[in-house]
Amino acid sequence: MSDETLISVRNLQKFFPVKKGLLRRTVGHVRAVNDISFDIKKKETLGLVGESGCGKTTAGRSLLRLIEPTGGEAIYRGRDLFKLDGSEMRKLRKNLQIIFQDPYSSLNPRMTIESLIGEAIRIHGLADAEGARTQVQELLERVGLQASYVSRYPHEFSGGQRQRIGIARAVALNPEFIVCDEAVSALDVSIQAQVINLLQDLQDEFDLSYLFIAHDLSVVRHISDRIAVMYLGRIVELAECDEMFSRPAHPYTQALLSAIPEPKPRSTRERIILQGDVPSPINPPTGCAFHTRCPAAYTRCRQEVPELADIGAGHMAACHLYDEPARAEMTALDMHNDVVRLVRAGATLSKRRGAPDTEDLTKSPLQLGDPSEYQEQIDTVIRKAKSVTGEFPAFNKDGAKGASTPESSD
Amino acid sequence: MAAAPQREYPSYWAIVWEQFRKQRTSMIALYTVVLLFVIAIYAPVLSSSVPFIWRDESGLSFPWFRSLLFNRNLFDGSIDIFFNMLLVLSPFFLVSRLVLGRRIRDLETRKASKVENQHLAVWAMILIGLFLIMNSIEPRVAVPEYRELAAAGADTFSLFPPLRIQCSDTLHGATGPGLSHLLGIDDAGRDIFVRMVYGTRVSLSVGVIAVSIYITIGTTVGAVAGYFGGTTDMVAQRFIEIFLCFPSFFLILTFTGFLRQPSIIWIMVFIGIVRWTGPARLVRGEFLRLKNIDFVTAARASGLTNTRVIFRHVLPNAMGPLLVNATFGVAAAILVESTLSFLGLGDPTLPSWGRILSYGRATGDTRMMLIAGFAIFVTVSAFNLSGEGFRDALDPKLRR
Repeated sequence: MSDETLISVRNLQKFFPVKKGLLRRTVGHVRAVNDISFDIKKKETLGLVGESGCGKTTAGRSLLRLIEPTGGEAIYRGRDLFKLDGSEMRKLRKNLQIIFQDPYSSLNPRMTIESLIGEAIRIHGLADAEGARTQVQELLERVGLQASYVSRYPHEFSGGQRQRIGIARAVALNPEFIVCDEAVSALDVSIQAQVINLLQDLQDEFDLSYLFIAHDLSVVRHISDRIAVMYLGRIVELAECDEMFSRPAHPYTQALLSAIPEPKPRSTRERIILQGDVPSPINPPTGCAFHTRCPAAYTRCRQEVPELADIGAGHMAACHLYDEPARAEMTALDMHNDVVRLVRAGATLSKRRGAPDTEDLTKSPLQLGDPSEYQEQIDTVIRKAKSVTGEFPAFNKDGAKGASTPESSD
Repeated sequence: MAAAPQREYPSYWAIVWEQFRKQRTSMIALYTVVLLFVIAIYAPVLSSSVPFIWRDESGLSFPWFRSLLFNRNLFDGSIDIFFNMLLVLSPFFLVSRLVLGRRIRDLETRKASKVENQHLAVWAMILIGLFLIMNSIEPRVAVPEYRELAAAGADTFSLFPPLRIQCSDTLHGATGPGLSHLLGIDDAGRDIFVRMVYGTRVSLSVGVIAVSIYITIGTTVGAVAGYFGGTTDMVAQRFIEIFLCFPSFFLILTFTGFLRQPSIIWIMVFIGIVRWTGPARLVRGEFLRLKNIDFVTAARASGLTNTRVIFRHVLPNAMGPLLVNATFGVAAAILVESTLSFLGLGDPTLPSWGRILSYGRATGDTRMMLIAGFAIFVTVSAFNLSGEGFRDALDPKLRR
């Protein structure tokens, strides 16, 4: 991995129109990808995670213009991919490839392996028919298949073998960048490991950059250099792999990571169980899209969309909890409400841990009037809250950097 | 590397064919279709008033071969020339195939199928070229009345086809079935059996050509509508719907009504331009299904042009249903032509089955009606049953 940027995506948007009625009038948009920005560095693997329907796949495909993006730009080699015309884009496509999730639908059943992989080689003028055949044989051997498979049809292969063929097709044109769209999700675990290792070997050999889209966090953790977490069409957090797993900042990421099953049977680690469902991307919530389910949401989250901002050492998060100056401007009442929420969330956690009942914290009377009168009260609540909820970011009014406290060790 | 025993890796169509072969009814139907084509192509071998070999005082000649190419003595029309060309080329084709078959056995599957396709393409081009040349030449050499000459003993040696009858011949007097006239002679002095045999040419060519016309139109419209979608799709669909509003048979009937002299070519064209909506909708649907499947996306991601994606990746996967539709279409087109001829709107110069049926009805000849009706029934059923066989063979759920 180097620091040189390969592709720089800015404000990528993809809205799908929702049509209704006899005249098929557009009544709204599914905001599948809503204004996301990220960079992919050379020889880097950027993991893109999130639950189903959060726009991961759409993001990957619109980046390659397999779906025409609604807005934004993607700078590759100094040119905006989204502004290229058809033939220019076709020429660049040999550098930008994709591996699909479903190995059964991604190979044309009417074509032999040779023409499947070799077609693009010949079209881009990289070799003649005979040369393409030799190249295909070499590629097949490289991905762990036999060279003699060239004249077979896809239906004669198993899922894992088909995925290897799909990978061979993607690297056939010697690309710089490959979108791995859930490339291993459809395979069973033992095959997954082989395919991931293959992808990593190929990355070293051909200096590839990957955008690795997946929902399996352990896979992503294994392969990625950096990870971006998506929720409802937006990137909520982007950090180095280890940083993300050791110090998840965004409440959504925390919930997501807590859902990774642990191999230790008697592990007592707490799971953060989110309430409610993912809101509709047709009509996303105002402010932060996650506020409807966020245990730490406060007033501002409902009003203002948080920007993806550096919260320290290149760790990017889109969350108001880390926006200190703004926090200082909050009214005491807002703060009190927020604290109450925070404590409630903490109380749920601590109860499960067997901590003393902290329910009464939230029952402290709410007084309106001069903030200074109940400042002390708030401080007490915060102190208690901090002692209870180690997992939530430290919450203080002094404006000190609210870097997340490390995961409480249990 | 040691030569591993080369296993045969079946392509998609090889599998479909394997499935098709397991269905007995469909195989019988397919054999019937093949038999009908053989009858149509080799009709002049069976019956012609021109001898294969003729020798008299002036010397040896082969008038039958010349008549195939240069005399439109059988009945006047392009269809006949086309079938004659097939007849002339068929032995050469078979020989070259045999030679090729031996060569192909040494090749691997991939190259073999390529060679085979090129081979077919070359023959198709020769056929079409020859047909166009022969169709444009108008050398009408008067054919001597070999039959009467032979009867008068003018020859020293002659070899005639089994039936010395031309389908345009007018013989004298109606007779019942017999050895010389297998199904008898009708009121107008025409041999019914010979007319039935040549009628196969009419029916099959109407079926195949009309269907080719409308499959071509339908596939183009459907592919463009389905692949590009949006406004294009919208316009194409409304256009199809407008066409669907008219009952197709009555539209064909009206069109033919406008012609002073209905020719068979026009009937084919009319069927072609009226019936294309079915395959258009079919192909559109297939394209809508296929265009978002990963392998099509992969093809686009590889930087292939739209044309290439459509023809190499989408269309081959839509061929199955299209083939089934075409097979049923052939049966339907044959039926339409027979109906038109029966109603007296067909080509009056051609020995069409519908015409024979109609003539039998007009003259009260039940035998003629039964024979013609039976031929239509068998042909239509054979095509329909083959179509059903293909449909089942293509359905992966019915794999055995």
